[in-house]
Amino acid sequence: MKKTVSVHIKGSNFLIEEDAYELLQDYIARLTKALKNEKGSKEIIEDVELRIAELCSEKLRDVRTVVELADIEDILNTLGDPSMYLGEDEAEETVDGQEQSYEKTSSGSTERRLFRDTENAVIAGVCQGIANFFNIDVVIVRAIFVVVLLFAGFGFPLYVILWIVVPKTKSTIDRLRMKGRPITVENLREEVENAADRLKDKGTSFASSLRENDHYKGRFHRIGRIISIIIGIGIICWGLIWLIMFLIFIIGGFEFIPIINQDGMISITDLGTLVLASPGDVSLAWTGTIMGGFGVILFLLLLGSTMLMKIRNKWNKISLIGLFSLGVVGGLICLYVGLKAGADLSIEREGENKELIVASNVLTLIPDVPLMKTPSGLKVKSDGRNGFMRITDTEIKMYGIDIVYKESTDSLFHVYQIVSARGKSNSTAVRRADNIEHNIRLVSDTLYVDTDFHFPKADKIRGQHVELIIEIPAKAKVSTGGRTIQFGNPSDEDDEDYDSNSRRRKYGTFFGDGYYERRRDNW
Amino acid sequence: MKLENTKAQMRKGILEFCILSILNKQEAYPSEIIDALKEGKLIVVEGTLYPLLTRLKNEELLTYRWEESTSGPPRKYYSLTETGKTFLAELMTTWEELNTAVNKITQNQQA
Repeated sequence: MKKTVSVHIKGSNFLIEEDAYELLQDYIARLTKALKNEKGSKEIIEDVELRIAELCSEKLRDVRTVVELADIEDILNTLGDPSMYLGEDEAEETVDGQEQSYEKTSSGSTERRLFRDTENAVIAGVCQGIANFFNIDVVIVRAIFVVVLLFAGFGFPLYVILWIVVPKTKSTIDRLRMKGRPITVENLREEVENAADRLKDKGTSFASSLRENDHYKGRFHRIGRIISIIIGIGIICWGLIWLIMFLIFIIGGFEFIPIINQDGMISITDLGTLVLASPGDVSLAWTGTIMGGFGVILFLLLLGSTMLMKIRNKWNKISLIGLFSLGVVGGLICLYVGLKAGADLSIEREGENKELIVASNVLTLIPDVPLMKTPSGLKVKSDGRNGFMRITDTEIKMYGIDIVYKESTDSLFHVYQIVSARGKSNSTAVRRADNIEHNIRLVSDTLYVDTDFHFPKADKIRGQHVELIIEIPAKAKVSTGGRTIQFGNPSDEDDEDYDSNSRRRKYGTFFGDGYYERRRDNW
Repeated sequence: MKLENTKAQMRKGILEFCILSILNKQEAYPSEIIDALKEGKLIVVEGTLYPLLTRLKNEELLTYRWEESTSGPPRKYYSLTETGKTFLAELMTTWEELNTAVNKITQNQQA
């Protein structure tokens, strides 16, 4: 089944097969070009058209009503290649050579310019424009874009930049420049007719685009198609994985976060309230997350389907742009909320510190909790049973404090309790730090240390932190959990060196010494 | 120098002369001229004819009139103008001179 077009040549109407018509159109265009320096070229072309009409009507002498591709090929062979009209180099091209020269070529006699081709676009025509510029199949350009997009996260910004920077074709003349074709009346007409065809084709775009592309691109195009299908499937899988992860996150995400309140689990909304600047921000963050998540995921799924099934219509394009925009807007909302919360974390300050002094040879530290080696020293490991945080109606309780051992400058134990928090100003940070409640009690030479601390819920989670600095005098030691910790005794065997030099703190006098933890055999 | 090229050059030179000769007998439309020229193997492709006809017409050696056709588009019937007839007569003389000269030379060479 072939489409026909109705042509009017010098008072006669013909039904011509579409591909035959294109061939004819191309022939006339090339003839116009070949004769452009010839006086009376318009008239010559008219005469030729007349002859074509005459030959067409001869072809239709029998019962046929449609001029076929073979007829036009035959007619054009009879007429001869446009290059032979003026006879200058007619011997260069023999009749055999004509078949090739009838092939549709975009003769690049004008410098090409980069335009976005919005008429053949999936999103904004960037890829199609690049494909036109380099005269390669758009599928390959899209494939490269998508690969870059998936593996480097580089394609989106690049696409958007090109979208903004590269002008779209506004006129038919631009379209010719884009394809590097000379701006002649015939080429213009062809473009206009192509545009009309494209409009006609929108409804049945699937079939017609397949045919059109088969017609022009053949094998090359099919390879592109395969790549396109593979990438399409890839994108769909990728989208599905994200969809599943996103749904898990939305429906049951809090189960992955070890937070416990008195009722059990805490919802993400509650956690949001504790982190974000205002309750309104929590709703915003939710909206942003859902918009962004679904926008991007549905965008991926649709993009994949588009590549897989080669959908090309207006609604598909609009949906893609819409979903992408949704994703971007969602992302921007989250960014806004995040930045707002981030502002409240910009300054870290310490609150009022507490100092205890002990004169003894051994300071016993209770509780006997496992210690975790951290870059800053030893951190009291949080109790796995409790999680790292507990939230009640009025308070937030956090588990885990840092304990740092230093060498004392005198013969006394010095224990510093340092509380710190963050805020958008010095005063808010200091106020939050002072709101932290952390108990240390000294009974004789035993130090009882809470491994958790709490602060009012209204303070939100703003980097509240408790650190205990224990300065150990020479020849004295700290005993905790069956271990002893002491300084300045390098003769001890099996000493493990914890390097505290990496931490720069304002307690300059304690700075620069390692400390030693002596193990017992059974530890 | 290619043989085809030389042949084409020769044909091209006498093509205008032949067209004028055909039209001298009676007026004709392009298809008829083409048939006559094809018979004499003077043209390979039809396209060559149209620029020539237009050139001759622009030099006012030819003129044409439109005539409706029963089987297709209207036809352009070409005929010689008075200038064309004078021009052809001169060409005819030249051709005969040339013909004699060429025959003489080629026969002398063969002998």
